[in-house]
Amino acid sequence: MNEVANIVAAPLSWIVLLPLAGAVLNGSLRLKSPFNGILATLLCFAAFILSCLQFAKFPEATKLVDPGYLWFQAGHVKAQMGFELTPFMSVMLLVITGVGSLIHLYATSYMSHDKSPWRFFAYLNLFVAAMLMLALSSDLIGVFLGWEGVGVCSYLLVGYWYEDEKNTRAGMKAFITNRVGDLGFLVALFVAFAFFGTSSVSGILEWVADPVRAAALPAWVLTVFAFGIFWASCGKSAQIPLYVWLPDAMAGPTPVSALIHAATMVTSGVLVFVRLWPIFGAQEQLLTLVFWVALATAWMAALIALTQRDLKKVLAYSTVSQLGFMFAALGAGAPVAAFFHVVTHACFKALLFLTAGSIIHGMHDEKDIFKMGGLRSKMPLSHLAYLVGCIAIAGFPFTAGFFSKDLILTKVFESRGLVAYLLLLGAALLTSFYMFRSYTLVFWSKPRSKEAEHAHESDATILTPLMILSVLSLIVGWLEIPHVMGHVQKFSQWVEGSWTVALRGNEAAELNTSTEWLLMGIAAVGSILVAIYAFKKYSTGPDTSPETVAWKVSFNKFYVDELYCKFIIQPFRKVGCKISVWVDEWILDGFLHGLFGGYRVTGQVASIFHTGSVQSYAVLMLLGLLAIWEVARIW
Amino acid sequence: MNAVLNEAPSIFMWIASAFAVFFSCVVYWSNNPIACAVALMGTLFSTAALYFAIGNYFIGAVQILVYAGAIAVLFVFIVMLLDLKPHKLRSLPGQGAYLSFVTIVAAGLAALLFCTLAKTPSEEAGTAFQLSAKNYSEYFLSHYQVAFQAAGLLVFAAILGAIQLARGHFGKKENT
Amino acid sequence: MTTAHLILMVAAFVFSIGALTFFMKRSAVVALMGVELMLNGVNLILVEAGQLHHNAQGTSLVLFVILVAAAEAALALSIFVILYRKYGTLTLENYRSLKG
Repeated sequence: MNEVANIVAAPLSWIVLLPLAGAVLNGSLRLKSPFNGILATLLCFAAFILSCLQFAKFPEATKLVDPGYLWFQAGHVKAQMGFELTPFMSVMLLVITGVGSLIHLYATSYMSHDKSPWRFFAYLNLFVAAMLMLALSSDLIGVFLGWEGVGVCSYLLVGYWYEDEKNTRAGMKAFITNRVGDLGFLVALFVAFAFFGTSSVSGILEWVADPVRAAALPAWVLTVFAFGIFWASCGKSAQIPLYVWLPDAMAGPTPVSALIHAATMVTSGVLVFVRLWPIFGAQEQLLTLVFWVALATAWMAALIALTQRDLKKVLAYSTVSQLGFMFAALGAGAPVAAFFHVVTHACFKALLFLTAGSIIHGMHDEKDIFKMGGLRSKMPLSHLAYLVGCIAIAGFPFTAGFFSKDLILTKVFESRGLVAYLLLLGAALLTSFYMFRSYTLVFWSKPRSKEAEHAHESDATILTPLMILSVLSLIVGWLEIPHVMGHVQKFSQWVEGSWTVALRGNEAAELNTSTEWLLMGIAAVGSILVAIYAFKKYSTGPDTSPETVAWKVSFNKFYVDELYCKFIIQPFRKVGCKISVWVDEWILDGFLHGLFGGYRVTGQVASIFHTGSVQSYAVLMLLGLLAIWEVARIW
Repeated sequence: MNAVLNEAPSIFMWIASAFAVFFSCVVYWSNNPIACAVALMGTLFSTAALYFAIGNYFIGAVQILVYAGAIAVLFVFIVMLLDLKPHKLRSLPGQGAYLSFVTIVAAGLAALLFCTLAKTPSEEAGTAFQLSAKNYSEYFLSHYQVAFQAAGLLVFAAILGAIQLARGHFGKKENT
Repeated sequence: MTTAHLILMVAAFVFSIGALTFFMKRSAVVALMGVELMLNGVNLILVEAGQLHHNAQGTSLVLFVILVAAAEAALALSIFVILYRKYGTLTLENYRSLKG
């Protein structure tokens, strides 16, 4: 951290502008399919190429900047639309644009028989542009702009098939829940302006690193700042209590779920955390809170996923659970582990969603896994892809998920102790269980419905991204392998090289070799055993045992939505209604009545003088004349 | 001529003033319209006398010719044409209030005029303006030429108005 | 009490009586006479002012006033005639259609 920083200028704004141009072009040109999809994919891929070029400039350069332009300035509040790229963010950029391009390609075929896919691709490109803005911006205001932008695009895309009211309501839910979270981000922004005097990320980090200034700060400032960001992450990255939008967001088309709700948008919280880690690393209490909330999230989502019948919902709850893992890593003080899991999760979750899309397509839009079955002969490549995704997410040895999950578990064991480790391990084993449940029910046993009997494999445009992502899911993990296995530390390099300020916080104690092997072994063996158990249990078909209370609670998502409705939304609505009626009657109507009453009274008073008699008019004229004369004389 | 204004008023002037005041009071207090009209004529004559007294013969002559000779005669003519009957004053509450108000206005007006008079610069010797018709017309037709022409237009408009009124197409449809 | 003061007082008085006549009389024709009295009072002041300043300005203005007064009286009386023919009365209290 004490190296000389080598900051290089780079044309980073093009990376954001290309997808944005794609959105504008698609929206205005409205080409027929497949050209709109091809245009969108090409622009996204061009952004990927640019990202690769920028990535190649590391590690010689420590940071790439593009100063951009001054957006607005009011007093000392300054918003500079600039871009900066640190090593770990450049990796994220590769993920966003790379996985994004694959999903665009997939969508070209998936959305081909939709009514007006130019709208879809315009929104998708807009989303990528906003996400890149979020990642690249050098100023928290720019990050917030991207943050809001991805929220808007999420709403637009989830509610894409807006003729069905269910979809628009899901989109609204996503947007509003995110907004509740954004309040935290705003509070953090206000704190930044009030106390740090700047909202640029490097400015904040430098300010906080200066020991003199940091000592002069009241203790609560940094905590409030960090908590604001955390609350915003609860909204965007679906932690308790603001996760409720993510399962409903499955109403959108599958590419949307893959891109937004698996790979990119939901990881924004983690990204901001890692970027500002020097501040978070020192907040002990907040990190404890983060950890336990994340653990609860991971468990709750896993428990719900155990009983779900909609394939996409299973994957959605799986995403919430994995996000819980990432935040648990953050809460344990391991940003490297969290970011590593972000990257691997992007690969295998996108793979799983895209494969689910392929399956649903082949099943003629049937999503209930109880109605599927025996698809492995009918859709062999999709079967292979899904299997790879499952073993990656379950953490089978040497897959990507294995390394990232193992790193998280190790860090948790180091910093939070045995109990926390065991709890998190339990959530990981549950992951394996429900993923293999879904896998078995979809692909094994006999077909359980007509659609399943007539299912067909998808075309090459859909299968190619699946294959690429499968390969990635297997090999990405090898970029950060533990000490005992060869000590490749690419991710650590990237992440830790990104903070040009000294890291404050205590380093966790190093484990000895045998403990590490033990932990890895437990996780690997446990996940394999659980997978086999799930396979055995469901290989003959769905579970037909009677519904227990536990099952009911799990199937109904712990009744959280109903609770929110009853205790938060309905009272809010009632109060809002009352206030609006009151305002309407007393203030608006009162204002109008007062205005007209005033006019009426004025008219009535004036009409006293309208007697109709010429002579009284003459008297008034004389009086008026005298008055004017007096005034003119005095003046 | 102008020195007259700084001297004490002559008897002639007092009598003329008295007549003016008397006749104007008659205009107000009389109930008979023809009496009012004749009293108006009397006021006009008295005012003309005052004009003569202060030396402005021209205006005095014009007053008698136009005002007393045309306008007042017109009034008499109209009263006789329409055969107006004697009338009372308007039935207004507080007639006394009107009287006192007007008295105040009159007094105020007089006071204001006195003040203005006091501020007027005294006469400069040697610049006396001989008010003869020749001098006057030279002055008038050179300095007030434009206003004179405008007044001509005004009279023209009045003539047109009179003609239109005389035609009497009121309340009927125009059939041109 | 010079001539000037006397004339001004007379003028003020005639003007006020004219105003009073206009306000208080029932018949329109007599009210018009009040207007003429007012104009007369003003003429008196103007002439005297012209005399004070030794030029013909006052005279000129008075000339215009007399001109306009003549035209106005003529037309006003014609209108009264027509009104009398139409409505049968010249009592100003009856002409109230501007009320309200």
